[in-house]
Amino acid sequence: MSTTTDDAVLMHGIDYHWPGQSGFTLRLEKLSIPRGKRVLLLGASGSGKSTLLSLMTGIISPLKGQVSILGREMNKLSNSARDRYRAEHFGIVFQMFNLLPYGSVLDNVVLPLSFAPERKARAEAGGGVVAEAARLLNRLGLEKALHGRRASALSIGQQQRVAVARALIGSPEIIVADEPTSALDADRRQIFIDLLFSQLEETGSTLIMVSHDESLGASFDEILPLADIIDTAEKKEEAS
Amino acid sequence: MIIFRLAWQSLKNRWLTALLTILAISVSVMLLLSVEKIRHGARAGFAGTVSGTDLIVGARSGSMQLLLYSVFRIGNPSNNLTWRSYKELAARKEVSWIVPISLGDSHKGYRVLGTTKEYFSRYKFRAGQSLSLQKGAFFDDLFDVVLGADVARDLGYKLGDQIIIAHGIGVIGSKHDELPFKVSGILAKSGTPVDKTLHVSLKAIEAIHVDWKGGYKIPGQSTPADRLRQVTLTPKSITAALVGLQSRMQIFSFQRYVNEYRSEPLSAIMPAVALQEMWTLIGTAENALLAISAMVVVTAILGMMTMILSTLNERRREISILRSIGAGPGTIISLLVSEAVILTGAGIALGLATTYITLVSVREIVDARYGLLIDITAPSSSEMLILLTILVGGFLAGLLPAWRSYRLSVADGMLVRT
Repeated sequence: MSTTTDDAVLMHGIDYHWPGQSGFTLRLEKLSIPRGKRVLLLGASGSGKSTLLSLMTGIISPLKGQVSILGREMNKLSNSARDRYRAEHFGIVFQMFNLLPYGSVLDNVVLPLSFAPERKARAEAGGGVVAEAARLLNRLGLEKALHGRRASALSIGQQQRVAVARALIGSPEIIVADEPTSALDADRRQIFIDLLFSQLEETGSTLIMVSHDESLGASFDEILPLADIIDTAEKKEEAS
Repeated sequence: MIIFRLAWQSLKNRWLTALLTILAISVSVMLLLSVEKIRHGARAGFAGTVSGTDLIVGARSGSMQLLLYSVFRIGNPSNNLTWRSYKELAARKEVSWIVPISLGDSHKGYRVLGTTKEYFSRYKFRAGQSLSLQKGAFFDDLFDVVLGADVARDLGYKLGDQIIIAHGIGVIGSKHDELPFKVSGILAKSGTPVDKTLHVSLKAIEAIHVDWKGGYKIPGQSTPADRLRQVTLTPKSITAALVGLQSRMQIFSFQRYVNEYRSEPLSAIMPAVALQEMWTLIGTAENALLAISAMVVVTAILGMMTMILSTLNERRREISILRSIGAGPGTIISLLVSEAVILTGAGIALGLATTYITLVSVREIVDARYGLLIDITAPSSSEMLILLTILVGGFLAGLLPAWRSYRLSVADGMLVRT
């Protein structure tokens, strides 16, 4: 364990470039996000946000530098331990296509618990895994009739809410959301954000959201423009 | 486990391609198994061309040559066996029975075999099965002929039809046209060269050659059929003889006795041994057949690999999602490999089922038409080994797409591709 356990995420001295010819590189001096905070990382697409989130969640490893999550140094974990760590401590919501389309809504919500025994134990303590999933879905405004449906049968807005339930189940410490509202209508965005925040009140999880939409900023504790924290570069000849 | 339920649902989602893959594998498995079964059937059938005969005796020659002309009606004897020697052999106390055969004439390309009535009860095939009549009776009259199943079928002969036998074995040549034979019986299919043979009595062979000398008809001489029925006809020589001994223990000593026979050079062969030798010569063809079916299996597995690889693009999203919620490479790889194993396993099971259903339904027809008896038994250990090899092949074929999908998922990172 490290001394900086107050930080949910601490990254510094990061250097990364994607393998292959694309030549996209990312540099990050320092980023620290304290526990329990709701942080909005503001940036347009192509600003390296996906790379940043991949590094943060341990899907990829930096060539140089250090990533500490909840005080644990990710570079010191083996690949499989990092996968397991991600499963236990992160709930992730993507822009869209969050769900396995042929699976039922309930199965989609419960799925991450297969890889995260601690989250599973927490979900079971709340009256059983399925009951907990159903409770979250109900809270997010998805009535019982929808729970057994194939995920692909739901509207995009409903799918995003299922993704939130999946991220929240078992109360992971950090929720990462990558433009979760970009596929939604303007008036549904605020509803979605409000629902997400009300759930976070209960678990006290840290929220890290990436968006280009400054209008969401009001609800967050902190807004960080991505351009201030990371440097990205792309080789000219490969740029399309 | 929920992840495997989702994998199953994913496969169900792609049921058409999955089904076609299973079908392709099952067809290849069926082909391979059928070739195996037919191979064994053909080998057993070939080895059973002659059974119950301890020795075949003919003029001195190689065992292969003697077997070829006496059993398979291929080629000609270099020499004949004199009737006197035949009688002497027949009189030996070790000899339980002896059946003479005389070859040399033909009918429309089919060989005519002169023998005694005992031939039909002594000639055995497929471990002791006797020749049986499909229609009619074995020959009684001097000019009766009993047809093999193929001869009757191919030439369209019925009981009572008249047949002219040609002198020699060429299609064109002088004919014994003053002495027609009458079809008295047609044999059931045996799957042996007997099917392609016309059988007459040994005496009839003598009778049609009474007016011949040195391969030519004596001009102006023609003995009517009724006269021939009266006279005693004894052959001067025969082509070979099938011998059954009192005890199998005597085979080697009697064989030596024949091979060292003093009054004329003779050979005695054990048909089972000679058949085995011959199979090693023609057995390479079966290996070629097996190799071809193995290639078909390889093709089917490659097809499955292509199918899985081609679905990877649409599954990239699925894999990214699984990675993001914490599924490690082990999970991703085992998902794809288990899919390959399930498809291969289903293909093998379906192939196995269709093979047996087909074998059971065509067995009778194949036996009747081709004289090939296919044993319907549980898969032999060698067949099980083949099936296991295919399953392992399927497993290995799943590894490449699995590894590739994992690489893709790493390259994708957090990006969920559309």
